Amino acid sequence: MKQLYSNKGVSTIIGSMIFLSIFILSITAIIIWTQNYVNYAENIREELEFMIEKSRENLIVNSINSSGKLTLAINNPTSQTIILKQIWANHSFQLGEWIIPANSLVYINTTLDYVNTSKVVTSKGNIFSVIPKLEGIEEGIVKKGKWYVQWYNLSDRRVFDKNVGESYWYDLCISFDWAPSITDPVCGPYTKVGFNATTRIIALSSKIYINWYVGEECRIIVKEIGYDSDWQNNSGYIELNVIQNATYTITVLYSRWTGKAFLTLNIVNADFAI
Amino acid sequence: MKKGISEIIAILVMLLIVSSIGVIIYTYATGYFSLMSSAITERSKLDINTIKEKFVIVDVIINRLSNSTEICTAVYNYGKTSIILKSMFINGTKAITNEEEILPGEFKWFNGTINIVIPSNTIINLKVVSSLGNYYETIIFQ
Repeated sequence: MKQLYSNKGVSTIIGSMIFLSIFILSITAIIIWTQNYVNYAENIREELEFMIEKSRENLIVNSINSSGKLTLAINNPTSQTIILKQIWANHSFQLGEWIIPANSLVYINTTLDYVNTSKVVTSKGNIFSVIPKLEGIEEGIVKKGKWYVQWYNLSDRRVFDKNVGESYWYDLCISFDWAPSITDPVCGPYTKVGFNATTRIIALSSKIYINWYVGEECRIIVKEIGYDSDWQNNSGYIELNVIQNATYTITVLYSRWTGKAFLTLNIVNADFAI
Repeated sequence: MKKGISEIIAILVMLLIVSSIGVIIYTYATGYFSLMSSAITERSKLDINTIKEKFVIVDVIINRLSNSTEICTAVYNYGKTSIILKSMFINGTKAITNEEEILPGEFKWFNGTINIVIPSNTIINLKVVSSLGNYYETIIFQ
């Protein structure tokens, strides 16, 4: 009984209380530190996800001159929706929010003046520039229901030097085969000849196929979706994802230096746009 | 009886000493842990803001003056936090700039001037640095 009320008991209680208080404090501090670390790790995870989404963004941008104003044809070949926040033409800009759904082609009419060097900025900070036009070749003039063909004398392979004339083709399938010895295939003594044929087509399906068989070299460009086959020789085909009933501008370039001149080019699931 | 009183006094003195030491240790520990916690929280916030800060130069205009060059950069903040642009480096030379704050989703012109005339059609290495130490670097040809 005397031991129960001894002085030692009181100091033990006080000591224990102090120890417990410091212990609880340290545990609280450890919890706060851990929580901070968890927050930091969570933010890093979010940022990594953002970086992955950002790196997946891809747009093919083409500029169209609409009565002096800039219209953009933007193709989103990815499986994610992309939001545009800014459109730049030279050093002028237009702010807004344009949604480009996955696997789709969208036309955006801007209030900016048309220039060849324009770009778009996405909400995730990516910048996509307009594909520059081919230099040295006049932009194809589009005629309804036919190919508009501009003929050139070549100063070198694929180098369209001097415009020598024009013609029209009324069949969507291009096919010619000149005799091996021929030196004046079109107009004048131009063995080294090339052409730039342009037309507007309407897609009859969500896929268009273009196949070719060429003597020297040809190149196919589909303006609205930013497709450029680059120079091709021999035979080949391409499969293009398009929007059914939408119209597209197709340009075919042909370069014949001294070899046998022939080209067969067929477009499947398409017709002349009227 | 006298012995009893001195014993009580001794106990009281002992209690006072133990309590004082306890309070001192407790106060020190409280201060230490709260200081450490707030420092770690601040550091964590800073780190999080640093990784959340994202900006890009979307356009550049170069004005060549008689004895200096002014570079105007359109900086777009595509992150979730505001950014404060602090400095600009042109070909490694620090330009004279004014601090510029850009809110999330906005863009602003951030201008810098150096007392060197950069000739036309040259490659320019341009770097814009934020207050948190992040930077965006680009090479332009104008």
